[in-house]
Amino acid sequence: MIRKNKRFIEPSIFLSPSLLFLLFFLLFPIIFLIIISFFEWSGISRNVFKNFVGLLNYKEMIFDSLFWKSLINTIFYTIGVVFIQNAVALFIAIIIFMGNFKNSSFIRGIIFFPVLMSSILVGLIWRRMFLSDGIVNEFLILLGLQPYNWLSAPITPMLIIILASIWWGTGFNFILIFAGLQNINMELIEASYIDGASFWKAIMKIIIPLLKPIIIINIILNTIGGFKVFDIVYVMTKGGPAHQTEVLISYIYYLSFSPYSPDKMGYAAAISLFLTIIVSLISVFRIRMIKT
Amino acid sequence: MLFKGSLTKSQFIFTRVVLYITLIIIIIPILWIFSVSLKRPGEMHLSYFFFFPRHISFENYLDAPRYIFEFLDISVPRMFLNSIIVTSSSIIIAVIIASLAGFAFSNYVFKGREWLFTLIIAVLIIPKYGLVIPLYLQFNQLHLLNTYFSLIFIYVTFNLPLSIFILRGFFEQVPLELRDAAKIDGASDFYYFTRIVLPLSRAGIATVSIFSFLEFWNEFLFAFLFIRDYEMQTIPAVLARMGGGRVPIPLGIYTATIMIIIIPVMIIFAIFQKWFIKGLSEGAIKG
Repeated sequence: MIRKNKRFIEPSIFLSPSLLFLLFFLLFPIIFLIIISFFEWSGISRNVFKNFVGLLNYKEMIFDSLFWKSLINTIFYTIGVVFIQNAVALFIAIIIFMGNFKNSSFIRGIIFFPVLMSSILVGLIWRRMFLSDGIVNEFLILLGLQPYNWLSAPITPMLIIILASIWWGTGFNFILIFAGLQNINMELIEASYIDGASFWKAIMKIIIPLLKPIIIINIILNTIGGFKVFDIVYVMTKGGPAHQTEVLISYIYYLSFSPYSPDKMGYAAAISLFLTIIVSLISVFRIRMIKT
Repeated sequence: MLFKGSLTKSQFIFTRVVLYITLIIIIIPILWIFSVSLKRPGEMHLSYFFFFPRHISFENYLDAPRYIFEFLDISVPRMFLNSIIVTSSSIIIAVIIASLAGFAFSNYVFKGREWLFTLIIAVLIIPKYGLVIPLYLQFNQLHLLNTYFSLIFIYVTFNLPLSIFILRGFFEQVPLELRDAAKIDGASDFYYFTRIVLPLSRAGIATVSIFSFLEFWNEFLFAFLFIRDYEMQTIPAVLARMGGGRVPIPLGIYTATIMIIIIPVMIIFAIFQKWFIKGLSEGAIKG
Protein backbone atom coordinates (compact mmCIF):
# COMPACT_ATOMS: atom_id res chain seq x y z
CA MET A 1 0.00 0.00 0.00
CA ILE A 2 2.65 2.47 1.03
CA ARG A 3 4.78 1.50 -1.91
CA LYS A 4 1.95 2.02 -4.39
CA ASN A 5 1.33 5.45 -2.92
CA LYS A 6 4.96 6.39 -3.23
CA ARG A 7 4.99 5.46 -6.88
CA PHE A 8 2.19 7.85 -7.56
CA ILE A 9 3.54 10.75 -5.56
CA GLU A 10 7.01 10.90 -7.02
CA PRO A 11 6.10 11.05 -10.72
CA SER A 12 3.42 13.58 -9.82
CA ILE A 13 6.06 15.88 -8.37
CA PHE A 14 8.19 15.57 -11.49
CA LEU A 15 5.19 16.09 -13.77
CA SER A 16 3.42 18.91 -11.98
CA PRO A 17 5.34 21.89 -13.47
CA SER A 18 4.59 20.70 -17.02
CA LEU A 19 0.98 19.99 -16.25
CA LEU A 20 0.52 23.39 -14.61
CA PHE A 21 1.87 25.18 -17.69
CA LEU A 22 -0.33 23.12 -20.00
CA LEU A 23 -3.37 23.70 -17.81
CA PHE A 24 -2.97 27.47 -17.53
CA PHE A 25 -1.74 28.40 -20.96
CA LEU A 26 -3.29 25.72 -23.11
CA LEU A 27 -6.40 24.17 -21.63
CA PHE A 28 -7.81 27.41 -20.23
CA PRO A 29 -7.30 29.34 -23.48
CA ILE A 30 -8.99 26.59 -25.49
CA ILE A 31 -12.03 26.74 -23.22
CA PHE A 32 -12.02 30.55 -23.37
CA LEU A 33 -11.74 30.44 -27.14
CA ILE A 34 -14.81 28.26 -27.47
CA ILE A 35 -16.77 30.47 -25.08
CA ILE A 36 -15.70 33.74 -26.71
CA SER A 37 -16.78 32.48 -30.11
CA PHE A 38 -20.39 32.53 -28.90
CA PHE A 39 -20.27 36.19 -27.92
CA GLU A 40 -20.27 39.45 -29.74
CA TRP A 41 -17.24 41.12 -28.25
CA SER A 42 -15.90 44.31 -29.70
CA GLY A 43 -12.62 44.91 -27.94
CA ILE A 44 -10.20 44.05 -25.23
CA SER A 45 -11.28 46.91 -22.99
CA ARG A 46 -14.93 45.82 -22.95
CA ASN A 47 -16.65 43.12 -20.99
CA VAL A 48 -16.48 39.87 -22.94
CA PHE A 49 -19.52 38.09 -21.67
CA LYS A 50 -22.19 40.69 -22.25
CA ASN A 51 -23.70 39.94 -25.65
CA PHE A 52 -24.39 36.28 -26.08
CA VAL A 53 -25.15 35.67 -29.73
CA GLY A 54 -25.19 31.89 -29.94
CA LEU A 55 -24.04 30.63 -33.31
CA LEU A 56 -24.30 34.00 -35.02
CA ASN A 57 -20.51 34.28 -35.44
CA TYR A 58 -20.46 30.94 -37.20
CA LYS A 59 -23.34 31.97 -39.41
CA GLU A 60 -21.41 35.12 -40.31
CA MET A 61 -18.47 32.99 -41.44
CA ILE A 62 -20.64 31.24 -44.02
CA PHE A 63 -21.72 34.52 -45.60
CA ASP A 64 -18.46 36.43 -45.25
CA SER A 65 -16.73 36.61 -48.62
CA LEU A 66 -13.50 37.88 -47.05
CA PHE A 67 -13.35 34.79 -44.85
CA TRP A 68 -13.73 32.57 -47.89
CA LYS A 69 -11.15 34.59 -49.75
CA SER A 70 -8.63 34.18 -46.96
CA LEU A 71 -9.39 30.47 -46.68
CA ILE A 72 -8.90 29.99 -50.44
CA ASN A 73 -5.70 32.04 -50.34
CA THR A 74 -4.43 29.91 -47.46
CA ILE A 75 -5.18 26.72 -49.36
CA PHE A 76 -3.62 28.11 -52.55
CA TYR A 77 -0.50 29.13 -50.63
CA THR A 78 -0.29 25.75 -48.90
CA ILE A 79 -0.67 23.73 -52.09
CA GLY A 80 1.89 25.89 -53.88
CA VAL A 81 4.43 25.59 -51.10
CA VAL A 82 3.88 21.87 -50.48
CA PHE A 83 4.26 20.86 -54.11
CA ILE A 84 7.02 23.14 -55.31
CA GLN A 85 9.08 23.01 -52.14
CA ASN A 86 9.10 19.22 -51.99
CA ALA A 87 9.76 18.80 -55.68
CA VAL A 88 12.67 21.25 -55.61
CA ALA A 89 14.09 19.80 -52.38
CA LEU A 90 13.88 16.24 -53.70
CA PHE A 91 15.51 17.22 -56.97
CA ILE A 92 18.39 19.10 -55.38
CA ALA A 93 18.94 16.45 -52.71
CA ILE A 94 19.28 13.71 -55.31
CA ILE A 95 21.54 15.85 -57.51
CA ILE A 96 23.85 16.61 -54.59
CA PHE A 97 23.78 13.06 -53.33
CA MET A 98 24.56 11.58 -56.72
CA GLY A 99 26.93 14.31 -57.85
CA ASN A 100 29.94 13.38 -55.71
CA PHE A 101 30.65 16.92 -54.63
CA LYS A 102 33.81 17.54 -52.68
CA ASN A 103 32.42 20.18 -50.31
CA SER A 104 29.10 18.46 -49.79
CA SER A 105 28.70 19.51 -46.17
CA PHE A 106 29.52 23.15 -46.95
CA ILE A 107 27.04 23.11 -49.85
CA ARG A 108 24.36 21.61 -47.62
CA GLY A 109 25.07 24.34 -45.09
CA ILE A 110 24.38 27.05 -47.67
CA ILE A 111 21.18 25.41 -48.86
CA PHE A 112 20.03 25.04 -45.26
CA PHE A 113 20.94 28.55 -44.15
CA PRO A 114 17.70 30.41 -45.08
CA VAL A 115 15.79 28.10 -42.71
CA LEU A 116 17.58 29.73 -39.79
CA MET A 117 16.42 33.21 -40.71
CA SER A 118 13.20 34.48 -39.22
CA SER A 119 10.27 34.68 -41.60
CA ILE A 120 10.25 38.40 -40.90
CA LEU A 121 13.76 38.81 -42.31
CA VAL A 122 12.86 36.73 -45.36
CA GLY A 123 9.79 38.86 -45.92
CA LEU A 124 11.76 42.09 -45.56
CA ILE A 125 14.40 40.94 -48.04
CA TRP A 126 11.97 39.71 -50.69
CA ARG A 127 9.69 42.67 -50.29
CA ARG A 128 12.61 45.00 -50.94
CA MET A 129 13.65 43.00 -54.01
CA PHE A 130 10.23 43.40 -55.58
CA LEU A 131 9.56 47.03 -54.65
CA SER A 132 9.49 49.49 -57.54
CA ASP A 133 13.21 50.33 -57.13
CA GLY A 134 14.29 46.82 -56.15
CA ILE A 135 16.72 44.54 -57.90
CA VAL A 136 14.04 42.75 -59.94
CA ASN A 137 12.87 45.93 -61.65
CA GLU A 138 16.44 47.11 -62.15
CA PHE A 139 17.10 43.86 -63.93
CA LEU A 140 14.00 44.30 -66.10
CA ILE A 141 15.10 47.81 -67.04
CA LEU A 142 18.51 46.48 -67.95
CA LEU A 143 16.86 43.98 -70.29
CA GLY A 144 14.92 46.86 -71.82
CA LEU A 145 11.61 45.81 -70.25
CA GLN A 146 9.08 47.88 -68.33
CA PRO A 147 9.35 47.83 -64.54
CA TYR A 148 6.33 46.33 -62.81
CA ASN A 149 4.49 46.99 -59.57
CA TRP A 150 4.92 43.47 -58.27
CA LEU A 151 3.47 43.95 -54.81
CA SER A 152 0.45 46.05 -55.68
CA ALA A 153 -0.71 44.36 -58.88
CA PRO A 154 -3.67 41.98 -58.71
CA ILE A 155 -2.15 38.47 -58.84
CA THR A 156 1.61 38.71 -58.40
CA PRO A 157 1.75 39.51 -54.62
CA MET A 158 0.52 36.06 -53.62
CA LEU A 159 2.93 34.40 -56.05
CA ILE A 160 5.83 36.40 -54.65
CA ILE A 161 4.84 35.45 -51.10
CA ILE A 162 4.88 31.80 -52.19
CA LEU A 163 8.22 32.28 -53.91
CA ALA A 164 9.76 33.85 -50.79
CA SER A 165 8.37 31.03 -48.64
CA ILE A 166 9.90 28.43 -50.91
CA TRP A 167 13.27 30.19 -50.82
CA TRP A 168 13.01 30.16 -47.06
CA GLY A 169 11.76 26.63 -46.46
CA THR A 170 13.27 24.41 -49.14
CA GLY A 171 16.47 23.88 -47.14
CA PHE A 172 14.43 22.29 -44.37
CA ASN A 173 12.80 19.70 -46.64
CA PHE A 174 16.15 19.24 -48.34
CA ILE A 175 17.93 18.30 -45.11
CA LEU A 176 15.28 15.74 -44.18
CA ILE A 177 15.34 14.17 -47.64
CA PHE A 178 19.13 14.17 -47.71
CA ALA A 179 19.22 12.42 -44.32
CA GLY A 180 16.85 9.85 -45.79
CA LEU A 181 19.15 9.35 -48.78
CA GLN A 182 22.09 8.74 -46.50
CA ASN A 183 20.17 5.98 -44.74
CA ILE A 184 19.42 4.11 -47.94
CA ASN A 185 21.22 0.82 -48.23
CA MET A 186 23.69 1.57 -50.99
CA GLU A 187 24.15 -2.07 -51.96
CA LEU A 188 20.61 -2.03 -53.27
CA ILE A 189 21.44 0.71 -55.74
CA GLU A 190 24.82 -0.70 -56.52
CA ALA A 191 23.24 -4.04 -57.40
CA SER A 192 20.70 -2.45 -59.69
CA TYR A 193 23.48 -0.43 -61.23
CA ILE A 194 25.50 -3.54 -61.95
CA ASP A 195 22.39 -5.19 -63.35
CA GLY A 196 22.41 -2.48 -65.97
CA ALA A 197 19.81 -0.08 -64.55
CA SER A 198 20.46 3.44 -65.74
CA PHE A 199 21.26 6.40 -63.49
CA TRP A 200 17.71 7.75 -63.80
CA LYS A 201 16.06 4.40 -63.48
CA ALA A 202 17.87 3.81 -60.19
CA ILE A 203 16.50 7.12 -58.96
CA MET A 204 12.94 6.63 -60.07
CA LYS A 205 12.53 2.96 -59.23
CA ILE A 206 14.58 2.60 -56.06
CA ILE A 207 15.42 5.88 -54.39
CA ILE A 208 12.12 7.72 -54.61
CA PRO A 209 9.99 4.81 -53.34
CA LEU A 210 12.39 4.42 -50.40
CA LEU A 211 12.07 8.12 -49.59
CA LYS A 212 8.29 7.98 -49.49
CA PRO A 213 7.92 8.10 -45.67
CA ILE A 214 10.15 11.16 -45.44
CA ILE A 215 8.31 12.89 -48.26
CA ILE A 216 5.04 12.23 -46.45
CA ILE A 217 6.43 13.76 -43.24
CA ASN A 218 7.55 16.76 -45.29
CA ILE A 219 4.12 17.17 -46.84
CA ILE A 220 2.39 16.99 -43.46
CA LEU A 221 4.79 19.49 -41.88
CA ASN A 222 4.50 21.89 -44.82
CA THR A 223 0.72 21.66 -44.80
CA ILE A 224 0.56 22.50 -41.09
CA GLY A 225 3.03 25.33 -41.67
CA GLY A 226 1.00 26.53 -44.64
CA PHE A 227 -2.18 26.90 -42.64
CA LYS A 228 -0.26 28.84 -39.99
CA VAL A 229 1.28 31.30 -42.44
CA PHE A 230 1.17 34.88 -41.24
CA ASP A 231 4.58 36.50 -40.71
CA ILE A 232 5.64 36.63 -44.35
CA VAL A 233 2.26 37.89 -45.50
CA TYR A 234 2.23 40.54 -42.79
CA VAL A 235 5.66 41.88 -43.67
CA MET A 236 5.29 41.74 -47.43
CA THR A 237 1.74 42.95 -48.07
CA LYS A 238 -0.14 43.18 -44.74
CA GLY A 239 -2.86 41.16 -46.47
CA GLY A 240 -3.28 43.90 -49.05
CA PRO A 241 -3.70 45.36 -51.57
CA ALA A 242 -7.41 45.47 -50.66
CA HIS A 243 -7.36 42.06 -48.90
CA GLN A 244 -5.93 40.42 -52.04
CA THR A 245 -3.41 38.35 -50.08
CA GLU A 246 -5.36 37.88 -46.87
CA VAL A 247 -4.77 34.46 -45.26
CA LEU A 248 -6.63 32.99 -42.28
CA ILE A 249 -4.36 34.29 -39.54
CA SER A 250 -3.87 37.68 -41.15
CA TYR A 251 -7.66 37.93 -41.40
CA ILE A 252 -8.03 37.00 -37.74
CA TYR A 253 -5.44 39.68 -36.98
CA TYR A 254 -7.32 42.19 -39.12
CA LEU A 255 -10.59 41.47 -37.32
CA SER A 256 -9.16 41.65 -33.83
CA PHE A 257 -5.90 43.50 -33.25
CA SER A 258 -5.09 45.49 -36.37
CA PRO A 259 -5.26 49.29 -36.10
CA TYR A 260 -7.88 49.27 -38.88
CA SER A 261 -9.83 46.44 -37.38
CA PRO A 262 -13.63 46.47 -37.30
CA ASP A 263 -13.35 45.28 -33.65
CA LYS A 264 -14.93 41.89 -34.02
CA MET A 265 -13.11 39.84 -31.43
CA GLY A 266 -15.91 37.30 -31.04
CA TYR A 267 -16.06 36.65 -34.76
CA ALA A 268 -12.26 36.43 -34.92
CA ALA A 269 -12.44 33.82 -32.15
CA ALA A 270 -14.89 31.76 -34.18
CA ILE A 271 -12.47 31.77 -37.14
CA SER A 272 -9.59 30.92 -34.76
CA LEU A 273 -11.51 27.90 -33.55
CA PHE A 274 -12.12 26.87 -37.16
CA LEU A 275 -8.37 27.21 -37.86
CA THR A 276 -7.48 25.27 -34.72
CA ILE A 277 -9.76 22.41 -35.71
CA ILE A 278 -8.43 22.23 -39.28
CA VAL A 279 -4.79 22.26 -38.21
CA SER A 280 -5.51 19.71 -35.48
CA LEU A 281 -7.11 17.36 -38.00
CA ILE A 282 -4.08 17.58 -40.29
CA SER A 283 -1.78 17.10 -37.31
CA VAL A 284 -3.42 13.84 -36.34
CA PHE A 285 -1.51 12.36 -39.27
CA ARG A 286 1.68 13.80 -37.83
CA ILE A 287 1.06 12.08 -34.50
CA ARG A 288 0.47 8.81 -36.33
CA MET A 289 3.87 9.25 -37.95
CA ILE A 290 5.53 9.78 -34.57
CA LYS A 291 4.14 6.53 -33.31
CA THR A 292 5.59 4.53 -36.18
CA MET B 1 31.71 6.99 -52.87
CA LEU B 2 29.37 4.73 -54.72
CA PHE B 3 28.97 6.51 -57.99
CA LYS B 4 32.52 7.73 -58.14
CA GLY B 5 33.69 7.53 -61.72
CA SER B 6 30.33 6.19 -62.76
CA LEU B 7 28.88 9.57 -63.72
CA THR B 8 28.95 10.10 -67.44
CA LYS B 9 30.29 13.40 -68.64
CA SER B 10 26.85 14.83 -69.35
CA GLN B 11 25.60 13.75 -65.92
CA PHE B 12 28.65 15.36 -64.36
CA ILE B 13 27.96 18.66 -66.13
CA PHE B 14 24.23 18.48 -65.40
CA THR B 15 24.69 17.99 -61.65
CA ARG B 16 27.18 20.88 -61.52
CA VAL B 17 24.94 23.25 -63.45
CA VAL B 18 21.92 22.46 -61.26
CA LEU B 19 23.98 22.96 -58.11
CA TYR B 20 25.39 26.31 -59.23
CA ILE B 21 21.98 27.62 -60.24
CA THR B 22 20.57 26.54 -56.87
CA LEU B 23 23.38 28.20 -54.94
CA ILE B 24 23.03 31.41 -56.97
CA ILE B 25 19.29 31.57 -56.28
CA ILE B 26 19.88 31.06 -52.58
CA ILE B 27 22.73 33.53 -52.31
CA ILE B 28 21.53 36.39 -54.54
CA PRO B 29 18.91 37.90 -52.20
CA ILE B 30 21.36 38.02 -49.30
CA LEU B 31 24.22 39.15 -51.53
CA TRP B 32 22.09 41.95 -52.92
CA ILE B 33 21.16 43.15 -49.44
CA PHE B 34 24.82 42.97 -48.42
CA SER B 35 26.08 44.87 -51.46
CA VAL B 36 23.53 47.63 -51.12
CA SER B 37 24.39 48.00 -47.45
CA LEU B 38 28.01 48.68 -48.44
CA LYS B 39 27.16 51.55 -50.79
CA ARG B 40 27.79 55.14 -49.85
CA PRO B 41 24.52 56.78 -48.80
CA GLY B 42 24.73 59.25 -51.72
CA GLU B 43 25.52 56.61 -54.34
CA MET B 44 22.60 54.26 -53.95
CA HIS B 45 21.94 54.17 -57.66
CA LEU B 46 25.53 53.78 -58.78
CA SER B 47 26.50 50.17 -59.19
CA TYR B 48 28.55 47.67 -61.12
CA PHE B 49 26.68 44.72 -62.57
CA PHE B 50 23.24 45.46 -61.08
CA PHE B 51 24.16 45.94 -57.50
CA PHE B 52 27.83 45.84 -56.56
CA PRO B 53 28.90 49.12 -54.99
CA ARG B 54 31.25 51.52 -56.77
CA HIS B 55 32.83 52.48 -53.49
CA ILE B 56 32.70 50.30 -50.44
CA SER B 57 31.78 52.15 -47.28
CA PHE B 58 30.55 51.18 -43.87
CA GLU B 59 28.70 54.41 -43.33
CA ASN B 60 25.30 52.69 -43.37
CA TYR B 61 26.40 50.40 -40.59
CA LEU B 62 27.52 53.35 -38.51
CA ASP B 63 24.27 55.22 -39.17
CA ALA B 64 21.89 52.28 -38.76
CA PRO B 65 21.71 52.23 -34.93
CA ARG B 66 20.83 55.93 -34.82
CA TYR B 67 18.17 55.53 -37.50
CA ILE B 68 16.66 52.48 -35.84
CA PHE B 69 16.44 54.40 -32.60
CA GLU B 70 14.82 57.33 -34.39
CA PHE B 71 12.35 55.37 -36.54
CA LEU B 72 11.60 52.35 -34.41
CA ASP B 73 12.10 53.79 -30.90
CA ILE B 74 14.46 51.11 -29.65
CA SER B 75 18.23 50.85 -29.54
CA VAL B 76 20.01 47.98 -31.29
CA PRO B 77 21.66 46.59 -28.13
CA ARG B 78 18.31 46.73 -26.34
CA MET B 79 16.49 44.69 -28.98
CA PHE B 80 19.23 42.08 -28.92
CA LEU B 81 19.05 42.09 -25.13
CA ASN B 82 15.27 41.58 -25.22
CA SER B 83 15.61 38.67 -27.62
CA ILE B 84 18.42 37.12 -25.60
CA ILE B 85 16.52 37.40 -22.31
CA VAL B 86 13.30 35.95 -23.70
CA THR B 87 14.98 33.19 -25.70
CA SER B 88 17.46 32.05 -23.08
CA SER B 89 15.05 32.05 -20.17
CA SER B 90 12.44 30.21 -22.25
CA ILE B 91 14.99 27.57 -23.25
CA ILE B 92 16.22 27.11 -19.68
CA ILE B 93 12.73 26.84 -18.21
CA ALA B 94 11.51 24.59 -21.02
CA VAL B 95 14.46 22.22 -20.71
CA ILE B 96 14.17 21.98 -16.92
CA ILE B 97 10.43 21.41 -16.86
CA ALA B 98 10.39 19.07 -19.84
CA SER B 99 13.24 16.95 -18.51
CA LEU B 100 11.50 16.60 -15.14
CA ALA B 101 8.42 15.34 -16.98
CA GLY B 102 10.47 13.17 -19.31
CA PHE B 103 12.10 11.60 -16.24
CA ALA B 104 8.70 10.93 -14.67
CA PHE B 105 7.68 9.04 -17.80
CA SER B 106 10.92 7.15 -18.24
CA ASN B 107 11.69 6.24 -14.63
CA TYR B 108 8.36 5.39 -13.03
CA VAL B 109 5.63 2.96 -13.80
CA PHE B 110 2.35 4.46 -12.67
CA LYS B 111 -1.28 4.01 -13.50
CA GLY B 112 -2.33 5.89 -16.61
CA ARG B 113 1.25 6.65 -17.64
CA GLU B 114 0.87 5.93 -21.35
CA TRP B 115 -2.54 7.52 -21.38
CA LEU B 116 -1.17 10.76 -19.95
CA PHE B 117 1.81 10.66 -22.30
CA THR B 118 -0.44 10.30 -25.33
CA LEU B 119 -2.56 13.16 -24.06
CA ILE B 120 0.50 15.42 -23.81
CA ILE B 121 1.68 14.41 -27.28
CA ALA B 122 -1.80 15.12 -28.59
CA VAL B 123 -1.33 18.72 -27.51
CA LEU B 124 1.20 18.97 -30.35
CA ILE B 125 -1.68 19.18 -32.79
CA ILE B 126 -3.01 22.43 -31.35
CA PRO B 127 -1.59 25.45 -33.17
CA LYS B 128 -0.68 28.25 -30.79
CA TYR B 129 -1.68 30.85 -33.34
CA GLY B 130 -5.31 29.81 -32.97
CA LEU B 131 -5.19 30.74 -29.29
CA VAL B 132 -3.96 34.33 -29.65
CA ILE B 133 -7.26 35.91 -28.64
CA PRO B 134 -7.98 33.97 -25.42
CA LEU B 135 -4.33 34.13 -24.39
CA TYR B 136 -4.36 37.89 -24.90
CA LEU B 137 -7.43 38.16 -22.72
CA GLN B 138 -5.86 35.94 -20.08
CA PHE B 139 -2.57 37.84 -19.95
CA ASN B 140 -4.45 41.09 -19.88
CA GLN B 141 -6.33 39.89 -16.79
CA LEU B 142 -3.06 38.76 -15.19
CA HIS B 143 -1.42 42.12 -16.04
CA LEU B 144 1.33 40.28 -17.85
CA LEU B 145 1.04 42.01 -21.22
CA ASN B 146 4.16 44.00 -22.12
CA THR B 147 6.34 41.77 -19.95
CA TYR B 148 8.91 39.16 -20.91
CA PHE B 149 6.87 36.66 -18.91
CA SER B 150 4.00 36.71 -21.38
CA LEU B 151 6.29 35.42 -24.15
CA ILE B 152 8.26 33.07 -21.91
CA PHE B 153 5.12 31.35 -20.60
CA ILE B 154 3.68 30.90 -24.09
CA TYR B 155 6.91 29.67 -25.64
CA VAL B 156 7.57 27.20 -22.83
CA THR B 157 4.02 25.83 -22.89
CA PHE B 158 3.85 25.19 -26.60
CA ASN B 159 7.30 23.63 -26.70
CA LEU B 160 6.68 21.21 -23.85
CA PRO B 161 5.03 18.31 -25.70
CA LEU B 162 7.78 17.87 -28.27
CA SER B 163 10.55 18.41 -25.70
CA ILE B 164 9.04 15.90 -23.29
CA PHE B 165 8.66 13.41 -26.12
CA ILE B 166 12.27 13.73 -27.27
CA LEU B 167 13.77 13.79 -23.76
CA ARG B 168 11.83 10.71 -22.66
CA GLY B 169 13.32 8.87 -25.62
CA PHE B 170 16.83 9.85 -24.61
CA PHE B 171 16.30 9.12 -20.90
CA GLU B 172 15.07 5.62 -21.68
CA GLN B 173 18.38 4.85 -23.33
CA VAL B 174 20.23 5.25 -20.03
CA PRO B 175 21.12 1.68 -18.95
CA LEU B 176 18.97 0.40 -16.09
CA GLU B 177 22.03 -1.07 -14.36
CA LEU B 178 23.09 2.47 -13.55
CA ARG B 179 19.84 3.06 -11.72
CA ASP B 180 20.19 -0.14 -9.74
CA ALA B 181 23.76 0.78 -8.86
CA ALA B 182 22.68 4.24 -7.73
CA LYS B 183 19.85 2.72 -5.67
CA ILE B 184 22.26 0.34 -3.96
CA ASP B 185 24.52 3.25 -3.12
CA GLY B 186 21.52 4.87 -1.47
CA ALA B 187 21.10 7.69 -3.99
CA SER B 188 17.73 9.42 -4.14
CA ASP B 189 15.76 9.53 -7.39
CA PHE B 190 16.51 13.21 -7.73
CA TYR B 191 20.23 12.61 -7.28
CA TYR B 192 20.11 9.81 -9.84
CA PHE B 193 18.25 12.14 -12.22
CA THR B 194 20.58 15.14 -11.92
CA ARG B 195 23.91 13.32 -11.60
CA ILE B 196 23.46 10.35 -13.93
CA VAL B 197 20.51 10.67 -16.30
CA LEU B 198 20.98 14.31 -17.30
CA PRO B 199 24.73 14.18 -17.99
CA LEU B 200 24.25 11.04 -20.09
CA SER B 201 21.49 12.72 -22.11
CA ARG B 202 23.43 15.76 -23.22
CA ALA B 203 22.67 15.04 -26.88
CA GLY B 204 18.95 15.08 -26.17
CA ILE B 205 19.18 18.33 -24.26
CA ALA B 206 21.17 19.85 -27.14
CA THR B 207 18.54 18.73 -29.65
CA VAL B 208 15.75 20.24 -27.61
CA SER B 209 17.68 23.47 -27.01
CA ILE B 210 18.44 23.95 -30.69
CA PHE B 211 14.97 23.62 -32.09
CA SER B 212 13.67 25.66 -29.17
CA PHE B 213 16.25 28.35 -29.88
CA LEU B 214 15.18 28.76 -33.50
CA GLU B 215 11.51 28.71 -32.61
CA PHE B 216 11.86 31.29 -29.83
CA TRP B 217 14.41 33.57 -31.49
CA ASN B 218 12.30 33.89 -34.64
CA GLU B 219 8.79 33.87 -33.19
CA PHE B 220 6.83 36.84 -34.40
CA LEU B 221 3.07 36.88 -33.82
CA PHE B 222 3.06 36.73 -30.03
CA ALA B 223 6.16 38.89 -29.75
CA PHE B 224 4.41 41.49 -31.85
CA LEU B 225 0.95 41.40 -30.25
CA PHE B 226 1.72 40.83 -26.57
CA ILE B 227 4.50 43.40 -26.29
CA ARG B 228 3.31 46.75 -27.55
CA ASP B 229 5.87 48.71 -25.58
CA TYR B 230 8.58 49.30 -28.20
CA GLU B 231 11.36 49.27 -25.60
CA MET B 232 10.53 45.67 -24.70
CA GLN B 233 10.16 44.16 -28.17
CA THR B 234 12.23 41.29 -29.50
CA ILE B 235 14.06 41.43 -32.84
CA PRO B 236 11.32 40.05 -35.16
CA ALA B 237 8.72 42.41 -33.72
CA VAL B 238 11.02 45.42 -34.18
CA LEU B 239 12.00 44.39 -37.70
CA ALA B 240 8.40 43.93 -38.79
CA ARG B 241 7.79 47.61 -38.08
CA MET B 242 10.48 48.40 -40.63
CA GLY B 243 8.21 47.08 -43.39
CA GLY B 244 5.84 49.95 -43.71
CA GLY B 245 6.28 52.86 -41.36
CA ARG B 246 5.15 56.46 -41.58
CA VAL B 247 8.41 57.46 -43.23
CA PRO B 248 10.21 54.97 -45.49
CA ILE B 249 13.58 53.99 -44.09
CA PRO B 250 16.48 54.76 -46.49
CA LEU B 251 17.55 51.71 -48.48
CA GLY B 252 21.10 51.75 -47.13
CA ILE B 253 19.90 51.73 -43.53
CA TYR B 254 17.27 49.09 -44.29
CA THR B 255 19.83 46.72 -45.79
CA ALA B 256 22.50 47.39 -43.16
CA THR B 257 19.96 46.62 -40.41
CA ILE B 258 19.08 43.31 -42.04
CA MET B 259 22.78 42.42 -42.20
CA ILE B 260 23.28 43.37 -38.55
CA ILE B 261 20.57 40.82 -37.69
CA ILE B 262 21.76 38.10 -40.09
CA ILE B 263 25.49 38.17 -39.32
CA PRO B 264 25.25 36.79 -35.74
CA VAL B 265 23.02 33.98 -37.01
CA MET B 266 25.59 33.19 -39.72
CA ILE B 267 28.43 33.06 -37.21
CA ILE B 268 26.51 30.83 -34.80
CA PHE B 269 25.49 28.56 -37.65
CA ALA B 270 29.04 28.34 -39.00
CA ILE B 271 30.22 27.14 -35.59
CA PHE B 272 27.38 24.74 -34.80
CA GLN B 273 26.28 23.66 -38.28
CA LYS B 274 26.27 19.94 -37.52
CA TRP B 275 24.30 20.41 -34.34
CA PHE B 276 21.75 22.64 -35.98
CA ILE B 277 21.07 20.26 -38.85
CA LYS B 278 20.95 17.24 -36.57
CA GLY B 279 18.82 18.92 -33.93
CA LEU B 280 16.34 20.32 -36.39
CA SER B 281 15.87 17.22 -38.46
CA GLU B 282 15.51 15.05 -35.36
CA GLY B 283 13.05 17.49 -33.86
CA ALA B 284 11.07 17.58 -37.08
CA ILE B 285 10.91 13.89 -37.82
CA LYS B 286 10.01 12.94 -34.30
CA GLY B 287 7.67 15.83 -33.76
